[in-house]
Order: sequence, then structure tokens, then C-alpha cells
Amino acid sequence: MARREPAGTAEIWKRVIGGDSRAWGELVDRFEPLVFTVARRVGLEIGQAEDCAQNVWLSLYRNRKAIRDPERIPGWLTQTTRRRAIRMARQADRIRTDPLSQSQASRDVLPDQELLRLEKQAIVEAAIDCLDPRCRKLVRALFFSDQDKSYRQIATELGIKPNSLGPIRSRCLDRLRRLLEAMDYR
Amino acid sequence: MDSKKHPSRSALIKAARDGSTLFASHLQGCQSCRLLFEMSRQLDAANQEPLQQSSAVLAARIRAIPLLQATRRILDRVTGRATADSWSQLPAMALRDGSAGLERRLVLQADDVRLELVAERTVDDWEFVARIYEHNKVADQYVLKAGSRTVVPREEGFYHWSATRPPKTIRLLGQKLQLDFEKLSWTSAMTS
Repeated sequence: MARREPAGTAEIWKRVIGGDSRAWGELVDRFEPLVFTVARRVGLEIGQAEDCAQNVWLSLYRNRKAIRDPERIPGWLTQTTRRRAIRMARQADRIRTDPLSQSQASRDVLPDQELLRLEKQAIVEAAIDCLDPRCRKLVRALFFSDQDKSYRQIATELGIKPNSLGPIRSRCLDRLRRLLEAMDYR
Repeated sequence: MDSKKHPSRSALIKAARDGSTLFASHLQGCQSCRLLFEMSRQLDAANQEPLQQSSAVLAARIRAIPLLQATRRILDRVTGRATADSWSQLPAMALRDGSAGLERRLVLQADDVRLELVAERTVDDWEFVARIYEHNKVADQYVLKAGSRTVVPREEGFYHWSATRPPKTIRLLGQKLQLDFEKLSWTSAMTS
């Protein structure tokens, strides 16, 4: 089965509406870690977070024809998950709040700004996953390592000559930039 | 600062994340550093703990939502039968053993759809692995019903599940078709 080049959320959604179940799978692969992470960050246990996630995705699918702006689906997913997870957490008595101040509690538990950052993180991680293994390792070593490794150390770990690292780095970063553009990352 | 001298990678990444213009003049003339700088800024959102992954079982169920929703309609029905059964080759006494390690391989066929099933009895229960082929190609567009249990496909079209008792009925639910296979007997293996 040939792997399709990654596309933006709106384009994937168009295919979902057209009945393409593989497009639905692409959307899930891209954003399921985001949904699950939001549910966990609110404070749900793993089993509860999985229930919450399944309900959120089911709700998205059942209401798919009502989605007017598919580019905002990541935001719909995070907001809906946060709302449901907080409701579940309250039922489990994890958060003790005054019921009259529910909306304030939502923002406090996981602020909107953090939700936006998580949405961006989901796309970045999905784009990195689309890179070939060597590029993936290189990008992680360059940007996400807590150790400040030299280029020589990175080259050794990748099994390449230090002189080759520059061109490989440029190629990998260029590929990543194009993937992020294709996924409508802003 | 000498605008021709390349800044260190860590300094460049820090400047990108802090929004510093310290290296602005160098970046104007250096494509390589500019790419690194821009990528650092773009990727900063992901510079935290990685997102958490849910279980493979959950991910498979969520991917199968369109399929599960579609199969709630009334479908055309087709009946199939077993075309190969490893137990038909065994003497009756071997089946009465029923000990752990007992395995059964079945091929169920209905029209152009073929289900290959391997069932293995373990110490505690039965483990099942199945794969569906349609026109001899792997098909992952079906929901498998083993008795009352609903199983959705995982990676590469494999269906995995375990149960304390093996299913007497197996059914496949597709978008347009329901395939029912003849009842299965596991009686000989369950007498021990």
C-alpha cells in the first residue's frame, strides 16, 4: 500500500467526508496523541482518558457533516476533550470547584494558550514521524536533546562522516519544512 | 559581531527561541544558519515532553469508528463455510486432550472473502489471530464479530483477541455486506 504524502487537516477532512476511511485513519494517527494528552493533563487516569478520547472521536465522526471549518478541527478536538475530561474528573472528585465557576476552572486546568501549543506540537511530531529514520534522529538530536552535543558527536551517532553532516542536515531540515507547510503548520 | 562567523548551534537555537535579533546580519547572508534558525522557532512548540500515546487497542477502535458506524445499517447477507480445518485431520483422541498449546487453523470462505483464523489454547484462555482477504488481497474494511465480541483490525489487517471460550459463531460486517459462517464446534477440546 503506497504511503500518501501528508496533507493539511482540511484536505484530509474533505476525504473523510467523501467516505475515505483511510483519511479518517490519517486524522486519528495525527491527532489521537493530542486528544489523549489533553485528557491526561486534566488529571484523568489512563482508562478514563481512553474512554474520554473514544467519546470525543465518536462525537467528531457523528457530527462530521456539521463541521464548517475543518482547519479548526485540532482546536475542536482539544476544547471538546478538555470540557469532557473536566466533567469526568469532577465526577471522579478530582477537582473540587464551585459549580458556578465552571468556565473559569476550565481555563485554569489547561489554559487556552497551552492547548494551542499542544496542537502545534501534535503537527510537529507528526511531521517528524514522516521523516526517514536518519533525518528523524538528526532532527531530534539537533532540537530536542537535553544534551548539547557537538556536530561531531551527532555525526558519530548517526554513523556518518562529520563532513557529510552539513548537507544531510540541510536536506533533512528542508524536508521537514516542506512537511510542515503541507500540513498547514503556522 | 563578525557577521560572517557562524554562531554555535546552541546559541542560534536559543536566539530563535528567545526572539533575539543578535544574529540578524549573519542570517541575512547565511542560508544554512537561517534554515536552522527558522526551524528552531517553528519547532519550539514541540520542545516539551512528547505527547502521550494511548494503547494500540484504543487507536484501532478509534480508526474503526467509520466502519463500526456503517455496520449499524441493515446489510445484505451472505453465508459462508469452512474450506479448511486443521482439526479435521486430527484423530478424535488428540482433540479430547484440550491441553494448553492446542492449536486450530481454520479457513472460512464466503464469495470472494476468505477469513484465515488461528486459535491457540493457552493455560488461561484462548488466543485468536485472524486476517481477512478479499479477492486475495488483505482486507481491513470489516468488523469481526466472534460470538458477541466485536473485534476491529489493527496494523496490517490483523485481528487479535482472546477469550475464555472459543466462539461458536463468526460474522464479518462490511460496509455493504454481512457474512455469516457456519457454526463452529469446539466441543472436543472443551471437555477437559
